[in-house]
Amino acid sequence: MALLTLNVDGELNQVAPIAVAVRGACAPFLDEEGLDAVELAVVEAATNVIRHGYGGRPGGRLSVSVEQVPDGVAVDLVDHAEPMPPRLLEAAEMPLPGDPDHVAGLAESGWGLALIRLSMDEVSYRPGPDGNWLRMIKRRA
Amino acid sequence: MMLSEETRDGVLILRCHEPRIDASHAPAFREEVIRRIEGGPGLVVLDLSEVTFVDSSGLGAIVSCLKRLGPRGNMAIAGARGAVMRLFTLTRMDKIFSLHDTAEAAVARLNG
Repeated sequence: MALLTLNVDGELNQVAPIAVAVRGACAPFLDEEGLDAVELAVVEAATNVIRHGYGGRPGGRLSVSVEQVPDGVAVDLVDHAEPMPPRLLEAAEMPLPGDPDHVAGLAESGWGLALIRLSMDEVSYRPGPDGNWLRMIKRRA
Repeated sequence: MMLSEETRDGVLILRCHEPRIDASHAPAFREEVIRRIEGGPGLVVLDLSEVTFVDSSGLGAIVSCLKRLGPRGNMAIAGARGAVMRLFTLTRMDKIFSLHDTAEAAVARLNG
């Protein structure tokens, strides 16, 4: 049975409430560091859908649910936006930090997908006609 | 207004009072920091001790502010902890910014 189910507008101002609710639902099962990791992954994933999937257009919806799995929690995010290219998330690597002596060349984005992958223990993404389904599992440390 | 400011030993200390710097706050945060650093001494401490959460958009805004200071300026971070510190470490931005427990330590580093 789901510990939490939410269905919200795909708007940036919904991201923090979603993240706080997911964190609350996961609280009995993870330590603080685990909860921080889940919160970051949920924010990055939801922001990604709203920004890139729905392209900032209003009217999109986002469903979020949390369930208990052996040794941890699974967070599912379902959207009906343009799907991500295949393997983009699963293959995401953290970009190199750049050169501190040449700040003009530093990147200002590009961390999101790698943060999702590094924060969670398992990430899977399945695009489909009934919605794009992102499942993120975090296990107890 | 999500920042307050103070100048100490020639360094501008910007203290962020917004607990979340995420995609919905990052543009306003960036604008406000840039407005406050324009024409300033170029040495800036960003005090994040009241901030509990930063996402990649917030981090991008912080990097953008560092870039705005130019090659002669510098920015140090004070008070990052928990999830905020973890973001700097995971993205390896701890190699770009010097991170300090307190604003005083960050000021000393920038003047050192």
